[in-house]
Amino acid sequence: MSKAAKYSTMAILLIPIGIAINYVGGQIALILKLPVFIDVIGTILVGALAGPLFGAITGLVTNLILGITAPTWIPYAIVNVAIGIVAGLCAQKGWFKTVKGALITSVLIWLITQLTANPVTVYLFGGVTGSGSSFITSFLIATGQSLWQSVITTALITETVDKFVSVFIVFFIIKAIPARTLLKFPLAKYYVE
Amino acid sequence: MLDRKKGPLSKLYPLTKLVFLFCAIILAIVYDWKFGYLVMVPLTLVLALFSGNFIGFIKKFIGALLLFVIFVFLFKIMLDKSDSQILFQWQFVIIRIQGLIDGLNQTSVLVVMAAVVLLFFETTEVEDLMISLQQRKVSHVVSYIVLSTLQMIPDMVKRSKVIMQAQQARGIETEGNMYLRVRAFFPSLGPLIISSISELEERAITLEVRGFSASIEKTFLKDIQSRAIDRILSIGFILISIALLGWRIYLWLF
Amino acid sequence: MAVLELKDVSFKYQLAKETILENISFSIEKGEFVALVGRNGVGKTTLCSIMRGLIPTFHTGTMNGQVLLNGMDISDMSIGDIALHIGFVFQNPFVQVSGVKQTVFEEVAYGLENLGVERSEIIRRVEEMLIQLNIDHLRTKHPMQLSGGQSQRVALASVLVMDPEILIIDEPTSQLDPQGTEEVFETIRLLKERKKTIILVEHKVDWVAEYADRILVIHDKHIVKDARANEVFSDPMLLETGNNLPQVALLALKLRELGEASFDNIPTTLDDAVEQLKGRGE
Repeated sequence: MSKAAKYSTMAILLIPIGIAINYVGGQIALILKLPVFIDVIGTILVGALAGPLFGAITGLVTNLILGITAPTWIPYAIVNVAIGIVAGLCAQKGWFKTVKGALITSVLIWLITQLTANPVTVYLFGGVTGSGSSFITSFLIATGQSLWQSVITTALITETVDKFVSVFIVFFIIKAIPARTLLKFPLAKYYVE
Repeated sequence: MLDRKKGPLSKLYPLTKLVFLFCAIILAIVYDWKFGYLVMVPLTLVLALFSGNFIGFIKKFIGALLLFVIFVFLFKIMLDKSDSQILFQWQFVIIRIQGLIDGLNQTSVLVVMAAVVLLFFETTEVEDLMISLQQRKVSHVVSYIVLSTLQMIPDMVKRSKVIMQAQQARGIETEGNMYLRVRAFFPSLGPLIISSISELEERAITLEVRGFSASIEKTFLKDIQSRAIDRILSIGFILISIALLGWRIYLWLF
Repeated sequence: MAVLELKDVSFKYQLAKETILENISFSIEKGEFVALVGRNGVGKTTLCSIMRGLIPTFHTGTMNGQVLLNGMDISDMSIGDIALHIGFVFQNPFVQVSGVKQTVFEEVAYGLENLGVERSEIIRRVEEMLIQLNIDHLRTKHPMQLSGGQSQRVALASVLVMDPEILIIDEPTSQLDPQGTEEVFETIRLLKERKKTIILVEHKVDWVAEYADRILVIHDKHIVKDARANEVFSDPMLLETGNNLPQVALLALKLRELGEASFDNIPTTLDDAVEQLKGRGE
């Protein structure tokens, strides 16, 4: 591996930015009263530019730091880590360069979110997610569905659009980053000739 | 070098408190709700009296958990199909004792986790925690990521507000129907992300110039030291936890 | 022995169509104060990056030739370890903050923590530097809430405190008023007295003429002139490369052209001019 490829300070510095983007994205979505969370854009972006390891760290630290004031975020770190890994692996397949690739990435990220978030919600939180979506879950339980059914249905309703939108935001952001800046990230070769 | 935290608990070495935090959470996982609600929560509250900010702690504790706890009890009561003793009945709403116990068990680990985590950060500067971790050979990169994030978040929040105000001034609606609000989202977030990433290069050079990746063991301006009391407490927590874990395993087996 | 030597260095940025610098060769002795002069975009900052070892590892591209730091090939050293030898202050002061410190005092101390300096020694050196750069009153301020001029001084202090043997300083006074500029040049002069090697990029030629020993003029990818300061700044040819001459030199040239005064050689500093004009009163 060449010296330039091993150079990692840019990727390290990208992590705090990714975490802040996760937070600010969520806040803006909240202020604009959008029906989506948009709180993992930073994780996906870091995964896409710097690979699965850096994506995973971004996800982990995001939830740990938010946990300082809201400890219920901490167990969901596993979801954010998984998203970072999947985003990084998809980027290493070159999928963030094409619309088709971004669609596949969206599906995979959506899938990994379902697989990791729902067990945490059910086993640790008894089905509660702490956001407004718990109202949907409680409605479903009241109609006689099981806890698992209710949680999964709620997640399908709230997460699906969210993950597609998030991946495509990252897709367009990467297109807007100047090539000379992209060059300095570990996965540059997947974006710049 | 400003010390913003007061109270005797802030004087303890951060890792001593971290040991306590992990012990408490592990024990809460293996024991049922009685340990969480009747031992750990009261203990944390008493400790919080020595944090120098009891009221602040209580507010954060309730703020972090209230909605969550209400919903869990709601779910458990609705899902409770047992024939245990009925505590309350009004039309089709029936609250049985089993539902309440299920709720307590379900929430116990999280309540303990929230209590000890909040207490930890109520009495510990994140910077001190990072220094103490570095003293135990954790990479300075971890420390950089965490401390930089803590400055980056308020900085970006501030910048996003400026950008959103500028958008409004230019006539981009941030209120009104969904379509308008969705359209406002991208110009609000996009420039923020791009500008942050463009600054990265110079930030990286700055760090390199300051010796960030020089292969030398780092020192610290801030004097954070583990004292005898810290060693005694840490070993105490670990021994108590091992004893309680052993007792729990004994109960499971026999 | 030269502390820094460039041997036939050429560089082309990745993605760029043309090379930015070609066949650059020079060597700098210990304790020399060298200024780089040239139009905007001519590659002065690129040359700084080459000397700091940021090229071609950080800024990627095609580089030929060799950079020797104390006789060692700089490409064999890691970007991190070069910090022990070379200090680098660049243009935009607002991004030259660590991003992890809450006060100016801690910010200035950061480099010393990274170099593993003892705590008491850190405090001593930071105190000294705060006074030297006249930023002592800012010690408890947040490093990201400073004015341009204040940030520029803090950035300079944060690097100087590390006491590197070579300093590369790229436009350190862009945000400063004349008084601030003078203070920075005075600081640089102190460094020179302490036998530090200084490489400076600066547009304010009046100051450069006063302080620098030697000037490298960069024009059209090459070093077109490498001479003592008074030689470079008294030559009107410099104007043709898009650079300015010191006011004193311009005045002297104008006076000579008008036949108002004759000079043995064109003065480039105020003292020089005074010396030559002394006792000429009508």
